[in-house]
Amino acid sequence: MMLLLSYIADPVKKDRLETLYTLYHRDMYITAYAILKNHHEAEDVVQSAIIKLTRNLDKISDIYCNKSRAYIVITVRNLSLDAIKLKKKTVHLTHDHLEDVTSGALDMDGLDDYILKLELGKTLATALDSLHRPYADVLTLKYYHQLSAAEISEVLGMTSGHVNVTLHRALKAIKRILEKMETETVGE
Amino acid sequence: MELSNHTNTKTEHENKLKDIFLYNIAYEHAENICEETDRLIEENQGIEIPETLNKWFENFHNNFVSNQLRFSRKSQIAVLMKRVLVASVVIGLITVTATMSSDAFRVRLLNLVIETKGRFTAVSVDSDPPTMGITAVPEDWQNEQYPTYIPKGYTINDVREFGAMKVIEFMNLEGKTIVFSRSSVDAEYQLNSEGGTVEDITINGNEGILIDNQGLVIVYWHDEQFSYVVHGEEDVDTMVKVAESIRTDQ
Repeated sequence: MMLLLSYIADPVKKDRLETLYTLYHRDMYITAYAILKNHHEAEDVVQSAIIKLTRNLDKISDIYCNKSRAYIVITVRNLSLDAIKLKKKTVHLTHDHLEDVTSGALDMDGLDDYILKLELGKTLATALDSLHRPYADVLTLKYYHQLSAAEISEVLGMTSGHVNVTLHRALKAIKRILEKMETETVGE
Repeated sequence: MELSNHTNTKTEHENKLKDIFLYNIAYEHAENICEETDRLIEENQGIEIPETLNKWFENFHNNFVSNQLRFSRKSQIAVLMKRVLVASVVIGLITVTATMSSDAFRVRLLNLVIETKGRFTAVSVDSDPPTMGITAVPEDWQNEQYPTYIPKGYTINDVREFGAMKVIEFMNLEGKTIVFSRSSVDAEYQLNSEGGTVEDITINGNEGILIDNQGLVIVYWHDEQFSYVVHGEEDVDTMVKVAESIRTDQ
């Protein structure tokens, strides 16, 4: 009996799926609810997210870290946005879909620039998220979670081609943000 | 060439730095997400997670675990079956190799085949210990044919009858046998001549063949009514003499 109790009490001994749910079901539900403003729809989204995460459980190396938490929240957030799109029964062709894919990506004048601008990471992340959240999400799944375009497309519910285009635009957006920041600094 | 290598290295360096730069932004975005989620949780403390969600997860999890178990068992069985199959093949190969490489095994196996055929060829050798109880042909054979010459030391050991086929076996004290058999002319004989010499012979004016197969001499001939076989481990002249001595009491 004690053994059983210790098994239940110790999340480490539970299987990964159960641990994931125990740790993050509240994050998932509140994230979905904050977007959808509807309990039933939030519940549906969390269920869909769990099914999706179960398929990609091997992608979560350490359940307890912020990296996994961000991955789970991105998944839930995009499923919630998909649910809104589905509810409206319209597919918006945003400016993103129409922009030229082959436009220039992130390039800086000197190699040192990359190092010097490392300290701007948080500002750039916030600015990118404010500009267009999918840019920041795709960038994070690609460079932080090290997912392939196909894997990102599964998480975000978009095609691999769209993932590549979004990523390309995210890099361009970062460049624009940096240029704007430099202009503002010079102006001051 | 050197310039090209330098350019490649420079590009690789730049790409690595760019990756680190982007990794840093991505990392900060993940941290922002977690902070934002913390704020959301804080703001929505009053919201209860519906019990239906927990119940749904409980069912889903149970199904997931049982599916995992089923899949795991199937995998284990598949692995086990593969191992059994491989083991069977290996054992089979070892057995075949051992049989074919060991004289003792091979002779045993081939003897079995010969013995099986022997039932039909009447060339079998009876290895039972000699019994000396029979000293003359049975009375009801008085009108049949049988050898009137047998080398010294041989006595009648066995007399058998299979339908139209009559067999008399003679044996000496060393256990050597001479077997005389007679059957209808249309009976089919399979005489083992492999490894021996075969030559035509005439027995009492009837055509036949003589097989000398490593010490085992077989004499076969026929007349219009019967086929005859005499075989034994004596020399050719002795065996031919036995064959020519066949006579009928009639």
